[in-house]
Amino acid sequence: MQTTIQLIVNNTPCEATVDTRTLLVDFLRDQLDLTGTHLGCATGNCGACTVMLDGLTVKACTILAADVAGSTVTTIEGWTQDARQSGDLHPIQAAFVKHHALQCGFCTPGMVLSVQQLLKEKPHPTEAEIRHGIAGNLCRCTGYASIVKAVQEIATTTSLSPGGRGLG
Amino acid sequence: MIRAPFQLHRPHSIDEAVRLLSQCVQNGEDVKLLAGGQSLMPSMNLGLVAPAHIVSLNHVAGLDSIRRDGDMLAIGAGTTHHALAESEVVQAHCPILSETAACIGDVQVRNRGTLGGSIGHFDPAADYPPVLVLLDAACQIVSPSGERTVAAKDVFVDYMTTSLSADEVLTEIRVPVLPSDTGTAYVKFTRVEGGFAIVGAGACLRLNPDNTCRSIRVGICGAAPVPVRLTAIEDTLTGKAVDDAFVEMVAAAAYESAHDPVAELHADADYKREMVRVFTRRAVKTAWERAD
Repeated sequence: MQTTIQLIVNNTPCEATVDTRTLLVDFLRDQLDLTGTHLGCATGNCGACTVMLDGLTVKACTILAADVAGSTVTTIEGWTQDARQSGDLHPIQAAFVKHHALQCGFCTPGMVLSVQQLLKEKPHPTEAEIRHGIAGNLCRCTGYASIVKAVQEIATTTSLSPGGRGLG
Repeated sequence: MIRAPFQLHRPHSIDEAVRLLSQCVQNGEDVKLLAGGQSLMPSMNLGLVAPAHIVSLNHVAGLDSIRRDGDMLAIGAGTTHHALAESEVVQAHCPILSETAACIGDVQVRNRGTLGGSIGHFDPAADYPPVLVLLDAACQIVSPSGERTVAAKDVFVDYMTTSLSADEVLTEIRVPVLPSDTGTAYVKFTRVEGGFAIVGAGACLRLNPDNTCRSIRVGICGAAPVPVRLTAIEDTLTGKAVDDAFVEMVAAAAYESAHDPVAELHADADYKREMVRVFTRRAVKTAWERAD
């Protein structure tokens, strides 16, 4: 069964025809070529497919593309648009690089979005809150220690004031 | 992509959803309701479930409202775990429900998964059922012939089986506004953070001024295929002094009540029974600390 959906992806209105069986993650990767969103487990465990849906992180392998018609989706590509234009790394990206918070990088797009959501809700999280905030993203390389360090640094150094770069 | 084909329906009202469901049922076709999809979608991805029709509730407006209605809170079935955990009304008047919502899955799951979806799916290791049973929650259900209200304890019938029929939609869950001096706690035992509960225990405790028990309610998951409520010991202990011995009596009753734990990979039945004792003790102790 095919259906046509309209939604906003990375600030761009988009209309597409999808098979109703298409998962949001497959739609983003295969039809929109937004391959920054990864498909890991397809069971809602690993978090590699994390995207923002109407401003909240979700796992795109647990959502039908046809069921988010009318919604706003932001993927890692949309999130880094500003950084690519200015040439500067986003504070979360910079901290991940500095602290080696990634090795193979498969979990990183989802991890970064989860970190962003965490810091939006809790600008100065404790270590426990950081670990709680990224519990939905599995990383098999780092053992999480370096990710926690990166987030701790962002939380202590980044200005969240309207005039600052912020964590947008 | 999900392999098995299905028809997706996206109704805009409950009536339309019920009509679609009953059409499928009448035609003898397998139909599933889709709410947050945090259990259904993985099951379909794995090919464990392959309904011919999916009726999505994600386009029905107003299913996610939380409002106070006299001495009850009326919570829309489409309320997400995240919304429940963060709701100031729920935190103030039924904190055990927000504490429970906050420990389900992970951030992304809580952002999408819903209260009604969890009830309808009824994994026996889910966190809401024991809490709803101890709260004497009422479930509002719309069927083709009209509406009915069912007590939570009568919703959870057996392992992954509820008393809802295939052409019914759960729309609202009503829980009591707890008196502000109630101490409440929900604690769970999981293999990893946010996992399904191997055992979960919830407790609500009110004290009299002389530190005797004014009322106690305890609900447990993991002790049997359906939530267990410790009604007998709740009655016995009302009016008794609340002390460590009191807590042990509840924990012992919980152990005795764990007549049929569902053995699983990480916990056999005997182990679960022991954990029921341990986690009930923790729940009652914490509720006691929080009661004033």
